[in-house]
Amino acid sequence: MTTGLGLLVALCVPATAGDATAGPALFEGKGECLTCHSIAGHGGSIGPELSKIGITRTRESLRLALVNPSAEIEKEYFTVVVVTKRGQTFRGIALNEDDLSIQIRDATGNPRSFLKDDLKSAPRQPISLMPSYAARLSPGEIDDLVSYLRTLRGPAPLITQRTRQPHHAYSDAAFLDRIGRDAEERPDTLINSLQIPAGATVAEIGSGTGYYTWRLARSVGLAGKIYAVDVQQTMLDRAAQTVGKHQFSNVEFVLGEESDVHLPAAALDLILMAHSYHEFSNPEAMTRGARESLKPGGRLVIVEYAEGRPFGPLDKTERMTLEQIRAEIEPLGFDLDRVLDILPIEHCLIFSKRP
Amino acid sequence: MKIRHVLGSTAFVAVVAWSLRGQNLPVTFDRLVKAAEEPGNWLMYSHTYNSWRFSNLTQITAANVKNLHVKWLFQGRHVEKFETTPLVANGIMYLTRPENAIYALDAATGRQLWNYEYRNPARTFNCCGKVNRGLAMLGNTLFMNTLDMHVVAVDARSGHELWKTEMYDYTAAGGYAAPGAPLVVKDKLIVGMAGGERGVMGFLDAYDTKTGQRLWRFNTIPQPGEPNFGTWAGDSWKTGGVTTWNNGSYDPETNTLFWGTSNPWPDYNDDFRKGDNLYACSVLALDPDTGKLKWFFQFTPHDVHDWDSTQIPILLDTQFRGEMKKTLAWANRNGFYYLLDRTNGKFLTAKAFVKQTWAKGFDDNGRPEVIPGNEPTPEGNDHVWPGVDGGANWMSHSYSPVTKLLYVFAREEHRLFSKNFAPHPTTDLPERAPVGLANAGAYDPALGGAKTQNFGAPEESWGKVIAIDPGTGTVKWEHKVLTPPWGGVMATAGNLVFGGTLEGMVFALNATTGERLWTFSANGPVFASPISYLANGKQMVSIPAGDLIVTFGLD
Repeated sequence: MTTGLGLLVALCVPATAGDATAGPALFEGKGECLTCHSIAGHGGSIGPELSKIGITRTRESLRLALVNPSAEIEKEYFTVVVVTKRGQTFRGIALNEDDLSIQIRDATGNPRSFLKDDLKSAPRQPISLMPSYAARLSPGEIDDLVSYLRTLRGPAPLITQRTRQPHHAYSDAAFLDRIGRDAEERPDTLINSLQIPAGATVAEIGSGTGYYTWRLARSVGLAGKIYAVDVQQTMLDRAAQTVGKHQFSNVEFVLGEESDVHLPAAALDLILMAHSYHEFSNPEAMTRGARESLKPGGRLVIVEYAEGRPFGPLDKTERMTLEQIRAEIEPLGFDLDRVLDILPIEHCLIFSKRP
Repeated sequence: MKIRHVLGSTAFVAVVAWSLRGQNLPVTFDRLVKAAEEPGNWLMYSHTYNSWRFSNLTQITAANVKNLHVKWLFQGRHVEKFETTPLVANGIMYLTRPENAIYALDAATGRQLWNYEYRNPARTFNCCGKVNRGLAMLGNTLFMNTLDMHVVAVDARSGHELWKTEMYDYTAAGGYAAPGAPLVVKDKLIVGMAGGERGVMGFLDAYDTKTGQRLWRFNTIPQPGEPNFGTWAGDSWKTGGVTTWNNGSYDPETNTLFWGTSNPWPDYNDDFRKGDNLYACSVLALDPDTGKLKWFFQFTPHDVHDWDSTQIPILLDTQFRGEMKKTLAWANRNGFYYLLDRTNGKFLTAKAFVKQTWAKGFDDNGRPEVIPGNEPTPEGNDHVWPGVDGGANWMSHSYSPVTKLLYVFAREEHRLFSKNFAPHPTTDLPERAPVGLANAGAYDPALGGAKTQNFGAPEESWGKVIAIDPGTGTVKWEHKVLTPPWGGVMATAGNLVFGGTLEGMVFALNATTGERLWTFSANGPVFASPISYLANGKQMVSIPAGDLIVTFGLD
């Protein structure tokens, strides 16, 4: 998977290229995309379902998928070429396999099962069944299609809905600095993927023991500034120690309140809430406060343990679903721009401040 | 605890038991020593004390195995992995079902006689699933280890609990558990424990089979003043792991107990535990009467890859360089097959049985010459073969005295090894078990976890049944399968090798050639090793697949 790389490239491409309104006609007409893909229940089932492709793929990775479909292909979409002993050939996507048989979905969408005894070979090739559109569509049409695909984000929630109990503020510092947290949360992968420019002004709300704080300080460099906000002074002291240990001096520690972030207005490029949002007793006030402190176009990044994954806290109030996060944040003046699906046990949602 | 009599009274159960074929209870120690003479029964985890997992039964052969078909199913109705090896005595099958339930079934039909359910607390500290691998038996009593670190004794006729002993506080340090099957030696029950992913201090225990009283404890990490204490830097011995989570073997001739040990802790970060870390990744030869160490051999000194040496020790006599030797044959998780002199632990030879990247060779004492560059790194090192789950793991190997070959269901794969922040063992270790993340440890998300399908990269991982000539380590044949297995194998005197794959294909191979003669699509993953026994005089083969016990017969 190369989603991290896709995001990196995306930042270099103007977000406005292409006309999204011209996309549906291309998608259903000239592109014949519905033969293999479906949106909201309509279309074929050979390729991935695309109803939310706009939040899981960047503009550039969507463009790449159209021009060179094999470039970023995931293993489950490798092409299986089944050649029978009678000389027939079937191309498809692997559905299942054991030592005796192989199951594929063929290029017309039909599931097929073969006994290996009847086959000459069934190699799995890292190429996509999808045709390249480099020659079939003009560059302008590809821009239009990409812009349209980026609008596919599922229905945006209109009213803030809270369907969960907040977890209490975590005070177990030993847990926050636990063994193996790097492997579980991949903090460097996360921070690198956010592509925070040097010199940026960033706040971390719920900075805990400073686990992410010093990494943010590193990414903005000496010309940048970090506000580390927490409601527990003991945690702020702990975070100051952590930041000090890594010898960064560009962090200001802010004692916040449960309904007030205590941050300057319209001053920040990015706010990170890593494992803290689910603990807010007044999440609406905190989200509104965060919005006010962001510059126009500023980003709000929320990281939470994902509900429904095999790894993560046993206590369900420490986990959130993607839909829960969207339903609480978007109606308060944010657009979901991107879901980073590169972390093993967490959701990472990147919102942008709606003008 | 709940005991349920499905068929009514204890008396009725006894009548059913008496009417079935096979030798009567009680199962004496003498019968355990001579278990090979009772091929109709399966009286201990590996069938015999030498742990050959070999069935002397000859009704099912290479010629007629094509007619093998399902005789009955036991439906476990559970989601946890089914890792049990059932026991069979006197026409009754005794098996454990996750988490810690015991079922007694009519071995001819699978009909249930009774069940016993041990209730664990909601949170237990098993690294890799709430599993149990089976029972031990002596007299009229069954013995089981529990995930909350108890040993229970249950009456084999009624399912009534006879005694229950706490081995250790299961919440201590990072958390302890006991998922393995115990082993009876004389009047003692030998019990291992797990927790090597959690900074525990390992041991092997012996209990009085009558009372449950503990008779000895061998600490797998030398304590201050004991030999080899100095193989751990600083205080790292206090949290060094070294557990004993699988089953062992026993040599009645020399009265020696053989048991393998796990990795040192922290698994992938050795910053604070410099040294050989004895007796991690070793085989221990113990006096079962006293628990005193006779000798040890460390397969992987200073392990950083979680390459446990908890494979089942196989005791066999073989030609080695023209001389008949009493040996210990060991296909290790680190990818090498070892042959040791079991009378003194002397290293005889070692040979890789899977692709490996970490050792150049061995000195005369069997110490590996380690190739640099195979260590876990903060960014992750994915060039190491074998992977974290090893070339072999806990699943049983099998030795046939007929073909004189050792059968191993081996794993070929590499995996990303990453090195995390290491806590200082005494100052940074949380005082109590972390309540936060479930299943961290062996199946750390950063390491990939257990892989269930092999989509896309057949060159990166596969499985193979291999036949090893034990005297030389030479592989005589190999039978390749799609994915690295989690099931063991059993050889039979019918010249067959039985096993099952992760996709649920149960198979029989020709023991001489490796040719696949028969398959059955169980379509549920096999996480266990097969057994064979007689029911009403007919040979049966049983293997867990998915949540089923599938039992096959000829007619």
